[in-house]
Amino acid sequence: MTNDSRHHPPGKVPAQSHDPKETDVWDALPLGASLGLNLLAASPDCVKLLDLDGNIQFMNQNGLALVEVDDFRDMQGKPWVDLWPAEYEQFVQTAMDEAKASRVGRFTAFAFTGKGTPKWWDVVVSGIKYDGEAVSGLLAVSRDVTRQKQIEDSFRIGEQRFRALADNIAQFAWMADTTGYLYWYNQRWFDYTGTDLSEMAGSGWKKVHHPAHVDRVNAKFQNCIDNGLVWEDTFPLRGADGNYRWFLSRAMPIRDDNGNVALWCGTNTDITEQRKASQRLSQLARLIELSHEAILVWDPEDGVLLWNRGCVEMFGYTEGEALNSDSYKLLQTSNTLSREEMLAAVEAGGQWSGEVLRRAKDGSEVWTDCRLELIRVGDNRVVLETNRDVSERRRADTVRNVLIAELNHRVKNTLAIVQSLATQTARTSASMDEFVQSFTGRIQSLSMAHNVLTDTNWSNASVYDLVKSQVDMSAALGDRVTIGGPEAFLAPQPALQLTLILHELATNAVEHGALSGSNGRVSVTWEMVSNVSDAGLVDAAASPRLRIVWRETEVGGVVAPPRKGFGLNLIERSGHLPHIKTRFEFHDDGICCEIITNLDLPTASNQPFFNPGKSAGRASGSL
Amino acid sequence: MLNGLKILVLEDNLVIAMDVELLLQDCGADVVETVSTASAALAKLADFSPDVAVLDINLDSGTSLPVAEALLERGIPFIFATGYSDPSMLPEAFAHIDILPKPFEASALERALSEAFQRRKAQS
Repeated sequence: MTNDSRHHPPGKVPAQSHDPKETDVWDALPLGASLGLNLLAASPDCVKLLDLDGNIQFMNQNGLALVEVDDFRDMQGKPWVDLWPAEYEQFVQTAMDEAKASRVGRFTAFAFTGKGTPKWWDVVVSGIKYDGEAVSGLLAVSRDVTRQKQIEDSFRIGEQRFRALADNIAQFAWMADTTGYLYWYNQRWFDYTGTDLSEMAGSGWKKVHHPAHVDRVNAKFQNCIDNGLVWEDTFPLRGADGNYRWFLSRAMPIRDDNGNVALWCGTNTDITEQRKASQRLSQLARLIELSHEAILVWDPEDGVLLWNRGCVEMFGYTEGEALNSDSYKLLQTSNTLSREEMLAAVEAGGQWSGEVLRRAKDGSEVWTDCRLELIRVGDNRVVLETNRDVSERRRADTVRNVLIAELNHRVKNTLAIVQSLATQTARTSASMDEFVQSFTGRIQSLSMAHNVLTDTNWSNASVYDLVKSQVDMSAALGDRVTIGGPEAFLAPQPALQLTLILHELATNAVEHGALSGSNGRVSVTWEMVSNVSDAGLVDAAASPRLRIVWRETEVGGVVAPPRKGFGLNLIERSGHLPHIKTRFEFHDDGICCEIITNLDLPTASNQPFFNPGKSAGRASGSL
Repeated sequence: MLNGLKILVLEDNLVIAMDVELLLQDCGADVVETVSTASAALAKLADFSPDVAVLDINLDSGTSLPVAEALLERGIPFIFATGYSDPSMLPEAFAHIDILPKPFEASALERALSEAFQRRKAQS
């Protein structure tokens, strides 16, 4: 249609439609009006010619496109007012009336296009005077203002949304102009401070600042405003109740299209609780740091994160050496679960505890009562580990166990000796009475030797005490029994052996020897002898020994018994033991028994009574 | 049960040693040699080859383990006798050796020695 070759009357701009009816309208108009209308027809707006009754005579091509009508004939001659929804009919009517009265009618209204598209229209209606006399037609120009209307609406909605947002966010919000003059605060600010805009505008905010902070805060704020820098600060603000709370505050410059600061937007966030929590945490961290318990925090992936003083003291590694290391490996943890098993147990149960063996930096062993607790920090999990040194207790346990084992051993050994004594006593006893008497006597002598040894904590026994415990020194015997010798001590085993021998000698003396009659005498004497070898030979290298002589005198009719009893057997056999020699002789006036045994010398390095390595060692300083 | 056997006894307590000696003789042992130290036992083994032996583990000085090793080497069966209830201190090499806890009954000693002897006899 645009390459229409038809000739148009001079001065007429060809309409964009070559609809014959449209052309007729143009042709019918006087030249001047026709020219003006041509201009209007080229307008991007919807241009309509109405007759005085308000019926549509003409609509330009752009207009048809705007109202989405394909064929003008569908509209031609129809009342314009019919195109509008009922609620706007009055607007239309009034505007047309104005135009007929040579004034300009205006209204903004909403209508659907021919295809149902909702549009807003800004409409101007004026009268047309063809002859310069009376208004003979109406010109209605409708501008599609839908887009502007939407923008306006969105601005209006945006403003509402902004206010809703600003008043409902947890933070305080405010705006300031380029000089730092605050001209808007959100509702929360007013609610918290109990103020209003008239008080707060400009620098009114200083009223709710703490006197000790306000100058510092103001100086920094002004500096940021003056230099266009992002402002951030932390300070207390007074609430309506008079109490201060702490706020983290920020302000950002908002710039226009040219990059110039247009305004400042600021917020204040209440961090009072965080401050308290972080103060508590730092106090806690300080306590942990000062604790003598070894406390560490480790991340299963990143290793040690915290290593307190207690750890340094207990394990010897400095914080620098421990941080980021795998503490399980660093401390050579053993005697417990593997690291993976330990971690799995902690993750399953939230905690784990047990006694573990660690190795300090200097190589020493440290037993700790170790407790692990899983702590979740956001998506991360870390392990809080505390260690109490239980090495001392474990050492004490070990010593106690050794002592109990030794005691057990000693008791069993003693019982074995008692049993053997019983068996052998029974072999040589003619009657139960004899057995009971002999056995009781032997047990009694053993028991007394134990008493003597117990007095010195089983370190050694005084020879004098041993002899006195076995020989009847009762006053009834007067001077028939004499004992004497220097102060001397025997180790437990020789002491027990000597006791058994002395008991057999004493029993024999009472039953068959010196003390069986009324005249015999017993002397028990001892001395230190040097230079005597095991074989009884002079040996300069030999250490001093004890020589005890049991001598009975003034005994008549001494004869060797036909059969060796237990006592004589014991005495003779004792001579085959290491470190003890015995000699037994029958003299005419009584028996003589010589016993040579090793002394327990306080300066010598004595064999401990118990098996070395299993014993806590002998008591020292008992002399 | 121990008829005609030659037996070595390593026991440092004389009273017990004397008792064991008599006891073994009662059971028919032919020869009973008693020693009270490990060194005496090793010396004794130079000219005495026992059929079976009983060793007290803890001696007044040291233990009988060197003697036990010598007996193992020679293939001589033996048993341990001890007042210790915890045999874990024994080296692995002696794990198969019977331990007779002290104090023991005569019949227990006889049975243990007899079994040790019979077992060795069956092996060879």
